[in-house]
Amino acid sequence: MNASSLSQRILGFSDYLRQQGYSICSNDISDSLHAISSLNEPNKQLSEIYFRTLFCREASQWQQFHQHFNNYWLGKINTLAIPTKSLNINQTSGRLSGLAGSSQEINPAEIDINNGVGAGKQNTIGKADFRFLNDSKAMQEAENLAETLATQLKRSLRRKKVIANRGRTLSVRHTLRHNLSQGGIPIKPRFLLQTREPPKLVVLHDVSHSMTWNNPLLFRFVRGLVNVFHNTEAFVFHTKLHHVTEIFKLHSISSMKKQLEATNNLWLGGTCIAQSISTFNKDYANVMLNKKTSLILISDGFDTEQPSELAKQLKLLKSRADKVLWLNPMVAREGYIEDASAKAARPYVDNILPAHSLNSLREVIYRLK
Amino acid sequence: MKDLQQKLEKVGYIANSEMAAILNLMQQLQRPLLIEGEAGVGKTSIAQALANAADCELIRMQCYEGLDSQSAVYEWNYSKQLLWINMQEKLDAKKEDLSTIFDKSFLLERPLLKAITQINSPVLLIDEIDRADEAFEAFLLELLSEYQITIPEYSTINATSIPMVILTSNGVRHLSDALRRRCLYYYMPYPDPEREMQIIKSRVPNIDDTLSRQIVSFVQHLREKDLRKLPGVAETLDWAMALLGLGIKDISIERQSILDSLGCLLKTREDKQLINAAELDRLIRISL
Repeated sequence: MNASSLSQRILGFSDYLRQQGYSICSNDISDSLHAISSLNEPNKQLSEIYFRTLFCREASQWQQFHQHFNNYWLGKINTLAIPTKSLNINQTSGRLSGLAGSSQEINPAEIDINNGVGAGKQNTIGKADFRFLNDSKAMQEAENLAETLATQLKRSLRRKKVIANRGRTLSVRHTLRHNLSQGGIPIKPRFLLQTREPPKLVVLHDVSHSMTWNNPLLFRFVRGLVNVFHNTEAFVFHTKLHHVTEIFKLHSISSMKKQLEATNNLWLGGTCIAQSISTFNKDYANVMLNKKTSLILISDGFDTEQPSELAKQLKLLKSRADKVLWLNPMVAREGYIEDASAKAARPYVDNILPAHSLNSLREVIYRLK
Repeated sequence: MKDLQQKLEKVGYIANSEMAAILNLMQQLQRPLLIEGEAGVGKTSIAQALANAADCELIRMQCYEGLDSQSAVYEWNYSKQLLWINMQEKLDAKKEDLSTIFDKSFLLERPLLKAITQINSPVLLIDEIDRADEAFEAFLLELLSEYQITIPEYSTINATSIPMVILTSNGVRHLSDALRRRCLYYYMPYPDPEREMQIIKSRVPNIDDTLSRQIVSFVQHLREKDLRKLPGVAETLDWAMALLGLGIKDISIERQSILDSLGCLLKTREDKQLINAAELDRLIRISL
């Protein structure tokens, strides 16, 4: 294989990987060509290692890379994208060793690209309603993003020491630095402002049948909250309330899902929101709620009980917590009409927010700041 | 590549061929290497081993929340600057002379600046980068792509030698794409049984072959369990040394001692509850 065809194959490979969600820049491509060119003889194993370390950005890509490599270079699928542009790289060595290219080159028109998440995927997924995220790859991507959102909240609320003109704690270093022009005489003292406390959150999450479409992503969002804020407590409910904080802390997502399913005998059953909140008020509220706590209720509001009972329980919650947010996946959907439960609840919640897409969860994060 | 692998082995680090090839490429392309993986798989020790193998200095920077450029890159020596100003005042110096207080002689080098001002390339270990703030991560970008540091009051300092930069991350938070794009990437998995055997033999030379094989098999099976904290290589070594210290030559014989020593492998209360006597028996049985 000559230099030109090798560079074309590498470009084709990078295009193929981009279609699989990898983000590869021109530096990576030129470095890969440089690395492959430096091999004395064609070496599949070493080439794979080089491409892998240059093209992967995270663990999931690392784990899937072997399959993509084989798919492209060993021609296990008909997915060879032939680039129209060639690389403009100086080949100083003048000696190139190609890979064992056994893949059958095909007409670009016949390329069968896997229907994965392509360019601009984060925006697309962010806007997509959870009900329509049926593709497993998109779903996985969205779940990861949901967890990342929770992490972003932590970052924005991270304890910060801010330098200011007034405050309680004098910053000697900044005072000296600021007063160098005065010969070090602290005419303009600088202070460290008090640190911000991370929020204390309690999440009550409806896992009844009507929430089925929304739950995988909302689970990941709540799991993210639990893992980044150590004093967050999480509960799930349908007709009964279950304390699941420890399950959300499990490092493996599959075991989290398994244990959640095992914990809830009536999983995906009917909904008794008021009764579940009543259990929370009776058994946990004294310990978990105070005037620094934000309570997040995640539910579509379809309740089998009287709206007045829900209002009563929410009033109790509101009297103990600082803030009560209701995340309702139905709110932003077409044809939504506020039902009796939502109307009864409105006086006792600070906000009823949509939670049908990742962008709507971003709004939730904004409200929690 | 084999040469590097042998050098690493000589300094007590058993690297597989993939690891050696990546370290080789890192040196060849002069690009930083980002290593991710579970805690205890040997991410940090690879930097130490590389420094020993290349016979160069290891400059380590441990990241933490709130780490700023004053602790990581440089700081002005304020007390020296003040003394100098006072001295200049006594000498009735002109105002222009005061500008020299932002000179290299007033600069205190912190790890990153130190790393790029060495004559011989050092190994720069930026450990647990995911613990640092985003602002600090952004600050690193210039260093990682251009190997230079800009000090606003002074000038841009270019590297006298390109350091071998290794960043490690445990995945506490998501790192920015900008940082990842500048680095080569390596996901360090738990070692396979063969490599873990070699590591034990290298670090605990007095251990019996049968015992080390049983230890490795036991730990490998333990990693298949749904534990909150899976045992890493460091834990395997601790356990091997503990068993050796207890005079155990076969894990199937002294169950109680094995149970007592499991604290070396299991680090949380939930994990200890999960591996009860019956489960221990099962694990031992399949490990023999």
